[in-house]
Amino acid sequence: MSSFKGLDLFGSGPHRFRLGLRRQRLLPEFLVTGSDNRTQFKSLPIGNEELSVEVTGRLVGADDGAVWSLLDAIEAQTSLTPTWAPGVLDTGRGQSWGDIFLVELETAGPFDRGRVVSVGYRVYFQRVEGSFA
Amino acid sequence: MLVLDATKVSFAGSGLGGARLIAVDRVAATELVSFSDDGPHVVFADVPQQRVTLKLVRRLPTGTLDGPEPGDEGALSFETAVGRTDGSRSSVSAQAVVTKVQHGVTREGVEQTISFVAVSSAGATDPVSVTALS
Repeated sequence: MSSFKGLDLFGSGPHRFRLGLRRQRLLPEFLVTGSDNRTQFKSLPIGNEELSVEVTGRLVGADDGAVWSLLDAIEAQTSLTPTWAPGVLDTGRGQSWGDIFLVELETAGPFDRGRVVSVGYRVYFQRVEGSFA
Repeated sequence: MLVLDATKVSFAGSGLGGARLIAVDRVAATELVSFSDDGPHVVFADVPQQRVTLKLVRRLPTGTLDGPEPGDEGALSFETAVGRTDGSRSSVSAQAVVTKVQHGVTREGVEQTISFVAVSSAGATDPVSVTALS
């Protein structure tokens, strides 16, 4: 079972994990040094991209209320109040990422009402390396 | 649903005699199919949108200059009895919109095929109702 901070946020339906972009971030040198060298563009490495993970899937419930409750539980993790805190994101398949924040929740479309009620979603997690209050 | 013995066929209040068959087809308009990280197989499937269509095939004794046209809406209704007995008669009705009217010539004569899409009074209600008559 996958989890975030030990919570089963995605288990009502199918979901998949995708590692975000991993790279060395580069900035134009002139932005950092003020150099006015116009003959050769130069870049400076400024650090690793912050780790990010995307979860896409479908929340499934018996009725609209059940699906809204599932969405609310995820949305609560994006809120600054009472505390926006990082946690461990565990795929349930042997991979986990610690100290990661749940940053975004977006539904993929309207609710679908067939045999069950369901809605597609995308959730974005990111490590925030900077300190903040 | 396939009805080979439809009687009292009418659409929008007008009788449609000579019915040979009426087919009620149900097709998914939207299929939801999802996979997981666990393997190659579908782990979730649902049909949140479906299209119910009806096709009436009837024999025309003579040529005709009028009749239903695409876009016409009304109640399509008929009665059916398995084996043409009164033992299990049912009345079937659906609010429907004509989508196609076609004609063909067979060895038995002229056939008219009218296609409909059934319209639900509310999205959750089955547009086709079947009522037992006996």
